[in-house]
Amino acid sequence: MVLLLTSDNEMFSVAEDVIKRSAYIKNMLEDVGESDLPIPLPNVESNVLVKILEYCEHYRGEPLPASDVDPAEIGDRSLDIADWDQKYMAVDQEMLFEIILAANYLDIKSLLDVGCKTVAKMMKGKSSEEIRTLFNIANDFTPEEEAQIRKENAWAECR
Amino acid sequence: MTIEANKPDLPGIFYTNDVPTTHEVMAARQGIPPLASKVAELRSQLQVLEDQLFRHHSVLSTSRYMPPEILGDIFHLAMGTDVLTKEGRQALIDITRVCKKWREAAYLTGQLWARLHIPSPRFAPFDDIEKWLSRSKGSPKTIVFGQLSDDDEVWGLNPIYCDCLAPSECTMNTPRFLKFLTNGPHLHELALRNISANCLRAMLESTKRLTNASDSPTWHAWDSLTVTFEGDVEDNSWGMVPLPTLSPFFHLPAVRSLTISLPEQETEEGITSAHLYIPSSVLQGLTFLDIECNWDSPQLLFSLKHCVNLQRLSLNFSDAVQTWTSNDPALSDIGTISLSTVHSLTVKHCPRATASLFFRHLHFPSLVDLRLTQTYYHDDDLDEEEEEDEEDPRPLYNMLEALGIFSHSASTLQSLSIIQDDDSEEDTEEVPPEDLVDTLRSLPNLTHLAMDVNFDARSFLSVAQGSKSGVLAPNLEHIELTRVVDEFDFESLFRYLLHRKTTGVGDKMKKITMSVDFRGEHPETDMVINWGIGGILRELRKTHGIVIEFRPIDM
Repeated sequence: MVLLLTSDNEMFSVAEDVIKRSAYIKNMLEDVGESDLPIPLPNVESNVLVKILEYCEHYRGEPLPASDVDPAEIGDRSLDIADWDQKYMAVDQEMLFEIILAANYLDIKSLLDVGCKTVAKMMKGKSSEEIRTLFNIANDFTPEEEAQIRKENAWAECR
Repeated sequence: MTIEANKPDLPGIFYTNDVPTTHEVMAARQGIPPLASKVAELRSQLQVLEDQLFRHHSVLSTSRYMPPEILGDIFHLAMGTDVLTKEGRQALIDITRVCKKWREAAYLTGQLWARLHIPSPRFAPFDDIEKWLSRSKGSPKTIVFGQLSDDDEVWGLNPIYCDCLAPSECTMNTPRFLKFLTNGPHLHELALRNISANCLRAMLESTKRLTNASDSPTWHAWDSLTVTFEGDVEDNSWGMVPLPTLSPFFHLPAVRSLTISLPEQETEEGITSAHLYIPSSVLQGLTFLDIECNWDSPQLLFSLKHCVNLQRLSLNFSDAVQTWTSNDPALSDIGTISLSTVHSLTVKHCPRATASLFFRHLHFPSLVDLRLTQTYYHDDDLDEEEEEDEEDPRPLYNMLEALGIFSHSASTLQSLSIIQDDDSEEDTEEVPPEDLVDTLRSLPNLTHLAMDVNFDARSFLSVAQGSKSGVLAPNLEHIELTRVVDEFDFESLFRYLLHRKTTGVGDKMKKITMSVDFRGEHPETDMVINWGIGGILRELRKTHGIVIEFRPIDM
């Protein structure tokens, strides 16, 4: 079993074959070897880790993706999301982004990919104003800057 | 701030629908301006407060913590991998307008800016296009000129070709276009859709002349060139004289990947008089070749003979039944062409007669991946009655045999994809179970099978169980069913998988992926309930470790 200590000081005891889906933990275990000391996860809160472990548990036993394959480098990536993954990602927006950040920190590429696809699907087809509203993003452009962007790209929108 | 909901001193007329007196009319008229002004003021204050509330929420938004590389990946997924048309460019510009952080992340993600569709080179704003492409930094750049599809509106202007007969007359090849091609950013891929043979010839000739004359020898040809031709062989004044110098490809520079859709030949014309010439030096350097050609001619074989470094080959015969014979004297030089470096072959719309004629001259001793796109089980030229009489009990097996797969590539072939013709009149075609069994039995090293055609799983299970030759394709690891019909018998398919696991020594099956047309949000849950397959699914997953995935069908 592997001990994990979250940023809010909660301790989790997790089976090694479950948490090894995280390349970060896997590498750490390989480097440090067996230890009774918990692995600190200062960037992950307990409620997020619970969710991350749910994902790792579901895919327990499935082959790990090759560590040298970065999903972003794969040419043709559709927005298809497997049925279970869709249900798993049906969380509030804050949790969705927390999962993505934790998957990035823990280096769980398949989970990061599903998270990014979920966000990409949410924003697809939306205008900049609709995206701002959707994700609570403040418009920090001055009217002059907005006009400049519009001018720079005028050709691209009309031809 | 408080507002009295119901002002007590308001006269009674305001709470009835009675006809007002003159005095009441005057009172109402006088009362409106201050009230309207107050409402406007409050609305303005509301807007400010709502903006402040939004900005408070925004401070707490987790999206602020997204690193630019993750944002870039999200943008990449949202934009897809197609070239950006006007709408796509608009969507990308919208992303850059969300906030400064998103704009920086988008600018850092080079591949977002690397693929453009420009309807016509004749009036294209190349200065702006170069500025746009400069944001793609080192990412491989792709430009597609011309129509993306038949219903694509091309700015309401002319298509990309002109009616020129000589390079000096060509109006497509403007000086600015040629400067872009020879002095602009290096293009990884250039596609010219619906061009004419003369325009292409003029473009390649001018490009060659300009780059040869240039003092700086830094010009690199495109890695990949895609050319589709407008109209038919006649419209194109395609080289009817077999002179290489008249070929549109005569000045083609060395590219690694070449995709050509040749102008169509009228089907009733018989053996074609049009002449195809591609310089052998170009053919020798190709690693990928994709040709669509319905010409009744063995000419493609002459080109393939030079393709000594080809790794991937795609041939589309557009359903043309070829009538040339192997007694053609030109073929005496051909004999058998062994394409020993080809590991991936795609064959599209190839009638079996054409396959027998054409592929008897080709061997693929290192073939790993075969993709077939066909109309298998009905012939458009036959009426229903004739079709029943002519029905082939083993269309898939016989097609693979005509392609020479069983004689030359059976031991190397690892992946087989059977893809239904998009234009098929059938919703989903069906492979007879015996046909599928015979095919799998003859491909012992197959590890991956993908099908978007249907099969009767119950009969397949029965035939497979009765087979005396052991487990079919024992190395099979992954089956993909990409268009599962509503009435598909999942239980029989799963029983077949169990049969493999329990009777096959060291059966290697690891994964089944099924795309299903379920309207619900969660197809697997619905499927398990509807088909009562929860138990067998669990057994396959937990006991035998098979990954079984249900995906919504890609409509």
